Amino acid sequence: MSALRELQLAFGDAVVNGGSVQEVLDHRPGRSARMDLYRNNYYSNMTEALRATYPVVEKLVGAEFFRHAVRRYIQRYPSTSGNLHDYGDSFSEFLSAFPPVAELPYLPDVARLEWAWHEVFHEKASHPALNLAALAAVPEGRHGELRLQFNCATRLVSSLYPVLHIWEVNQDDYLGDMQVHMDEGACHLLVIQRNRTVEIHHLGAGEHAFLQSLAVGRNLQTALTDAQKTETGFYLATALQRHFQLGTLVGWELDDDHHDFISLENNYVHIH
Amino acid sequence: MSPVVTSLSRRPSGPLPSVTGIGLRAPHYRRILEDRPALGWLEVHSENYFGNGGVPAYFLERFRNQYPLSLHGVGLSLGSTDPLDRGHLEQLRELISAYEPALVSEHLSWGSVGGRYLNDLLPLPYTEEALDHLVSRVQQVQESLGRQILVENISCYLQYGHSTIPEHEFLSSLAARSGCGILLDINNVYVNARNHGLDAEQYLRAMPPALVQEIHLAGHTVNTIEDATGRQEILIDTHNQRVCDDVWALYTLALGLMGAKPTLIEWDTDLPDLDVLLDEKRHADQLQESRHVRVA
Repeated sequence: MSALRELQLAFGDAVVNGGSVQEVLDHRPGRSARMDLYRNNYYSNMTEALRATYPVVEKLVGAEFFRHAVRRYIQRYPSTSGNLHDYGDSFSEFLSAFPPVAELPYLPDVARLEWAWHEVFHEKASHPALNLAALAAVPEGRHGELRLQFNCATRLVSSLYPVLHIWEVNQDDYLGDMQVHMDEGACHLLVIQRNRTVEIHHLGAGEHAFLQSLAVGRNLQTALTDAQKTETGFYLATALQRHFQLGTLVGWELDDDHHDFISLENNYVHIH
Repeated sequence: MSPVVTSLSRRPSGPLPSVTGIGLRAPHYRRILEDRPALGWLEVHSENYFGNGGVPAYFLERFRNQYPLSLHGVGLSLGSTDPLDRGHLEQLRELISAYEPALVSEHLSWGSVGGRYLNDLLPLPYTEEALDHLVSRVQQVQESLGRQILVENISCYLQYGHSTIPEHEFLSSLAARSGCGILLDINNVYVNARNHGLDAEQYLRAMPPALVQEIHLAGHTVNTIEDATGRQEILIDTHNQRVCDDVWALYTLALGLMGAKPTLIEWDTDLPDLDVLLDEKRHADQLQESRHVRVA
C-alpha cells in the first residue's frame, strides 16, 4: 500500500472514529486539537446537510435530540458521494430502527416525505408532450395496453399517519391551528415539481394504487385493476384527467410489440 | 427545442474578464435577477446543480444568460487514493456541456477514502509520491472532461511531518506537469501562513503569473485551540465575513506581481445582504484600477 493511501485511511479513521494520526503530524503544539477541528468540521458539515433536508423532523424532535440522532446516523450510514445533496437517503430507514423515537411512529414517514421533496426539487421535470391526436388514433380495443409515462420530478408517498398535515403545521410560514390528530388516519401523497416549486397533493387510495402501478411500468388495464382492488369506486377518467393536468403523466406508449415505439417527447410519432 | 437555441446565443462567452465576480448563493437569486447588478461574472459550486436539472438548474440557466460563469467543484476528491468517481465526473461533464463555463476548478485536497466520503477539503502531504499521484489524477480529469481545470490551494489546520515540498512549489509543479491552471486563494495563503508560520509574500512571489488564472478572496475567523501539547491561535477559513486588511494588502501585492486576474468574492456562511458582497467587489475593482493608474 502506498504511503499516501495509508495516511488517508488513518486520517479518515481519525476523523470518523477518533483514531490517532499524531505520528504523521509535525511537532507543533495543539496537534490533537487540530485533528478535533477536522472531526468537528466533518460532523457539523454532515449535520448541516441533514438539517437542510429534514427541517420538519428536526422541529418534531428538537434541535438537540436531532444532533444526537444524526451523529448516530452519520456513523452508521457514511456518505458515499462527493455531492452532499445525495446524503441522507436512508434517514427514514434509520429512524424506523432507532429505539429512542419508537414512540413517534409517524417520524420515519415524515422523513420519507421530506426526502421525496428534496429529490423532486433537484430532479429535472419532464415536459408533458402529449400528442392527443395520436392518442385518439389508438384503437379503443388497445387502450388497456397503453403504458403511461411518469414525470421524473414526482414521488409517491403513503403513510398510516396524517404526515402531510404534520408537515404543513411545521412549515415556518404556517399560522393556523397546530393540533394534528393521529386518528385523522392514513394519507397518500403525490410530491411533484410544478412551475419551479415543489407541491404536495393528496391522493385517493385507489388513485395512489393506480399511479404506483403505472410507476412500476404496468399497463393501463393492470393499473386499473390494481386501483379498483384498493378502491371499488375508483373512476379512471377522473384520475387520468387530473394527472394529465397536474403533469404527473407526461406521455404514453403502446407496448405489445416492441417495434411500435410511440414517442411523444418530440411531439411526433415514430413507428419503425 | 428552439427556446434553448435562442438562450444559447445570448450567453456571454469567451474567457472570464479580469474583473471581480461573486459566488452565487441561493438567498441572493432574486435580487440579482431583479436588479441585474454589474458583476463581472458568477461562480457556483458545481455540485449544487448536479442531477438532471431541477429547480436549481432553472435558475442557473437564467443567470447564465446574463453573466459569464465559473464552475467550482468541492466534491471530486482529486487527491484521494480511491479510484476517481466516474459518476461524479460524468455529472460534471454534463453540467459543463449544458452551461459552457469559462472556467472549471477543483481543490488541492482529498475528501474520500475506502468508499467513504468525508465531504470536506482535507490536506495532502506535499511529497513526490503525492505530486505524482495528483499529476496523474488531474490529467485523468482533464482528459475525461476534454478541457483544462484550475486547482485551488486550500486552508490547512495541520501539517504533515513528512512533507518535503513547500505548497507553492507543489502547486506550481502540479500545474506545469499536468497542464492545469492555478486558482490562487489569497485568504487561504494568509490563513496557512499564520497557522504554520509561513511567509505569505514569498508564496505569492513564487507563483508563476501566467499559470494563475483566477484569484479567490474571502474572510476567515480567528480561534484558539488548546490541548495537552499547548495552546495557540488558529485561523479558520469560514467564508463568513469581509476580507481582512492583511489579505487586501496581499491582493494588492499579487496584482503587482501577476497583473489583473478574474477575482472572486466568496461568502458561504452567515450570508449577508447582497450589498455587502457588492461593496467588497467594488473594493477589489478599485484596487485593480488603481494598479493601472500607478503603472501609467
